[in-house]
Amino acid sequence: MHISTSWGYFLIFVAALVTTEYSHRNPEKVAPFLVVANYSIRKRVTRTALLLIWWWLGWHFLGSPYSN
Amino acid sequence: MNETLVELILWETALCISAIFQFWRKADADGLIFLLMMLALVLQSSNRWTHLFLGLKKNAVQLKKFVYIGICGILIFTKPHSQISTVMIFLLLALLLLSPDSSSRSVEKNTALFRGRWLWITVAIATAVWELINYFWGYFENSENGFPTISMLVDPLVSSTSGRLLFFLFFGPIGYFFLFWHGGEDAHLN
Repeated sequence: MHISTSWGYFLIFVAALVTTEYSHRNPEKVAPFLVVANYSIRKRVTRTALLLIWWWLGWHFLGSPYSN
Repeated sequence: MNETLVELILWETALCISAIFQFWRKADADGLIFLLMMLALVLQSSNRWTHLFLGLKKNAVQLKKFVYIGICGILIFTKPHSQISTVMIFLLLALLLLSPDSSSRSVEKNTALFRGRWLWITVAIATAVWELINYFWGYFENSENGFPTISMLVDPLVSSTSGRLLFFLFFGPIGYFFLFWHGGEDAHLN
């Protein structure tokens, strides 16, 4: 079961890669990731929230006394 | 209702759900961190606090870049969940709070952007839902290893120096992008 549920993450990762590649080749049809990211963080509130969540990822994986 | 307020309410809701979830799984420190994030978002949305939070503009940016790279470098060679790594992560937080607010990032709204947004929202929601399904599946089946969350998959990776190097190829550039990338001259966009 471990392997089968891990495949779910792998499929999502592949979908993200395909989206990235497709948008890179066809920017007139689908905006590339950086353009979407720029649009998403155009407001300070989202910029700050994502910045804090990014820091929390570091805390969770490397600093927190418990990891899971 | 203005767009900024809607975004603030949505973020506060998401962070509140995360805080409740962390307290429920008895990760009290993480729950507290999410509550503090909620407070930080409210403070930064008030103009009175703008110059305090993320407010030390463009001073010694080059020095901060070196400090950032130094912290990331130390973390690569430090055992996770050790005292040194915890101190380094909190130094990273201090650097974050002392970093200049990013400049305005104007993007033209069009159909391609609309499609791109929804594709990435779909990927993000799929990841979150799959993670949640695995967490509860493992919890109720009493078999966390059988239904790994992303943390469980990443933990073995960050336990070795080469794995942490790989992790920082993802974590480092994202942080650099958030902290130091400037898209234009306007200092504030609210």
